[in-house]
Amino acid sequence: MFRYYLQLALARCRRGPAMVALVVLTMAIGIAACMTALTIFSALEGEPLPGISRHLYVVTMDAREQSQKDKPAYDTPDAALKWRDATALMDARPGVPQVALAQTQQRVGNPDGPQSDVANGLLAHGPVLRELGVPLRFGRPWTDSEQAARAPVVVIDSNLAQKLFGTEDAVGRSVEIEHHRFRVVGVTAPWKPRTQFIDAGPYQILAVDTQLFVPVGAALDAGVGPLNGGECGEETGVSNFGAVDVQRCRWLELWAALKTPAEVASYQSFLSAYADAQHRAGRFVYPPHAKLYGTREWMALNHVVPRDIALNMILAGAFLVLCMINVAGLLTARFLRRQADVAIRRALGASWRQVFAQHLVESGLLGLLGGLLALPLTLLGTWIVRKQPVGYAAAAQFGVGAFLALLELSLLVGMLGGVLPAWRVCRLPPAIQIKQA
Amino acid sequence: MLHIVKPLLRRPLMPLLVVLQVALACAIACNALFLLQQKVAPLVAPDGIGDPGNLVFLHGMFPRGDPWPAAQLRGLEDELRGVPGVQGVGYAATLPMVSAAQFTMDVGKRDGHAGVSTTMYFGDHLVRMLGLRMESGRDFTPEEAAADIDLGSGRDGPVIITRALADRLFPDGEAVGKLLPGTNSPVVGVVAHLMRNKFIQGNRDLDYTILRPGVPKQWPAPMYAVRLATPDKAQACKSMLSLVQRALGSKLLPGQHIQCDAYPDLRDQMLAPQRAAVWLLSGVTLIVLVVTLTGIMGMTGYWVQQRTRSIGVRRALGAKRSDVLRELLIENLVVAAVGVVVGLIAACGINLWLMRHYELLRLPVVYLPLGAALLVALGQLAVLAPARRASRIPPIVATRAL
Repeated sequence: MFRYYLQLALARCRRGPAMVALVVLTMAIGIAACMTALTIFSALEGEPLPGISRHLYVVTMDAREQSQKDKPAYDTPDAALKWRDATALMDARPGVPQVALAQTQQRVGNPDGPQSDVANGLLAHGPVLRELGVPLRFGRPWTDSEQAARAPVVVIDSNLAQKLFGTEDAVGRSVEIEHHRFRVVGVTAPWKPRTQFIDAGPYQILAVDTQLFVPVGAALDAGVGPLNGGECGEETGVSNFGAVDVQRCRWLELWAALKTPAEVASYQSFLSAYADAQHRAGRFVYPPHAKLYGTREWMALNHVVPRDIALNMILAGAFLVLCMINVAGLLTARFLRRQADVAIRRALGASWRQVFAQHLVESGLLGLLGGLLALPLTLLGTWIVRKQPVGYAAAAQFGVGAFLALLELSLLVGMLGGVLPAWRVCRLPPAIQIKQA
Repeated sequence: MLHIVKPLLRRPLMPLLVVLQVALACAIACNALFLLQQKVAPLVAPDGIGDPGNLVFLHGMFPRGDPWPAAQLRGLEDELRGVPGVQGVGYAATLPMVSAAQFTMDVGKRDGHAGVSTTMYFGDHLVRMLGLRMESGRDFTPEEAAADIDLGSGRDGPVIITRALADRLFPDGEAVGKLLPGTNSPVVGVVAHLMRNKFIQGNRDLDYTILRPGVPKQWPAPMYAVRLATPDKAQACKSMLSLVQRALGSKLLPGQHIQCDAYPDLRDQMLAPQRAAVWLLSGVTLIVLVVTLTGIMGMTGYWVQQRTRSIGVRRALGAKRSDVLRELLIENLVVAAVGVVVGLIAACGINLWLMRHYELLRLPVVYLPLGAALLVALGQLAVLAPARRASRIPPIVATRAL
């Protein structure tokens, strides 16, 4: 029966080609606009680390140790911690996977050759590779004892290894950073989060390749500092780059992996108790308001993803609905023009259900045709976005998943657009239709 | 009127679809046009820069660790003045269209009062180097310009503000000679315009700018504004870059490069996302209108065809062509009007929802009649062809198949 309806629908498409073209084109434009917006939206609004970042929580508190005349209020949660607070929190909860992080940018060289390159990376204290899910290709992460002994070890990514040593397996070699040698213990696959969530702010949406992981203790000993020297208590908004005053400055973010709501609640109460104790002891001058934030919540709070992304998605969605109403109207007109055919089929014994199904198949087919036409339009749309001078341009990648979503969407659009017209045409009593014809 | 509304109500499906379509298109158009206007604002607003053609900025100097001493940076400023082809140099902490850092200040902020959001620029010769037009008062004196500012405590001192900010803060009188609300900073001068280097939504705020003399003592992102006397920008930039590289290079952050950019290029780069958004939004609005047009045309075409016989009867009974044409136009007007009313309510609703969830501004009332007029005109345009076809139906049709 379905094949027969399909043949009928195809035969009918040949009649009134202008109307068919209009319906298909309208659907195609609507679907393409929606898919383009959806591609960008899902790339940016999704999890920065799929499956991992939903368990990650960042520690925030007002940890200022001097009162600030120009900005006494704690308006926005602050994730910057001193090295001593970060390590104190980590040591007090050894059972919870925690890692203290700061971004860094360093010139990394091969000490026995001329090769060197500027690499972005993380200064980290704790099991950073495991907690962020960074895939290792060779070697191992640094061990707890190496971390405790502040051993000069480093993990680099395979691209950096290739560039410095001509081979990906650089385990056992040494790299030079700031005139100090670090032994490579592990090589990771090229890795970057989908969006920036460490050191989150409105200035960077897409994360850069993380090519370098250095344990904090060893880095500090060698004078390898974070990209942002942090907040040092004197004045707001001014900081140093590339070096840090460990005693004075707050510069590390502490991220904890907490799997269940109970774990989150327990860590939150532990955190509040720690911060309140520091406040009572007089170290933190303001009430600390210690609070955990989930990754997505933290990114939203820091406006990492510009609101235009969501607005464009809403706009595209509304446009698709408009196109569907349009298609519903055009299809109603198209179907009702053929009332006579329907009436004869009904008179010959077709039930209204069969008539309904027949018309739904036709509109579904038109939807698929629209989807087919939408594919090149979507590719064009994402191509245009990639050419745009916006920070998220590179996120406009149309993949297989998006293609499947497009096909489903087009079928859905066709069927939904056809429900009303099909229902309208199959409910007419056959006798009146024949008489009218 | 009744004979127009009644047939609509008898077979409501088609008119209903037109109403829905018009309503949705109206709601989308109102909000999209409003967003469009906000994106256009910085593109068309005056930036205040005089003679931008020979202005270049030296920027991208980030020190590793402690900032360069202010004296060293001022010394470099003097050296830059000696570069052939350089007419004047100003040393600044932030410059327009360079987004490395921003100083913002909420003037008059107290408990329960948000204050006026402004951007501050620090620099020693900003008025002259940027070519700002003084409207009243004076430029900073050389003594004021030579000050090194301690950001933590030294927030007070003479300021120059823009005309827009002066009118906002001191609505009934001259700003020069008064104190900036909530501070001990006397306003010494007023300039015509100077755009902020961070675009906050709404176009009125774009020009709320404060100038301060001098540069912060410990400043990790120094910049120079340079006026060139020579048209050979490339050569001048080359000499200046090598000079700065020699003076500061040993302490530069790895991966950062000193840049020498012409102001018009920086402005283009900064405004590029806005321009892209303008194209996107105007394209979307246009397509929405075209889709609505074809939709109304298709539906009305059928709606007319369906009533061929009754139109024939009316013609046979003495109705003129113009009567038929006018009635169909009025009918479309009624349907479109209902759609527009629903659409305007929806537009306001959507805007309220967006305000709550995306911190958008309130839709100005002026967009409602604008959107309404647009959609009504579109409806009339769409119905014109089917209505003319209907008016040409000969009365003889009425006698057939009766």
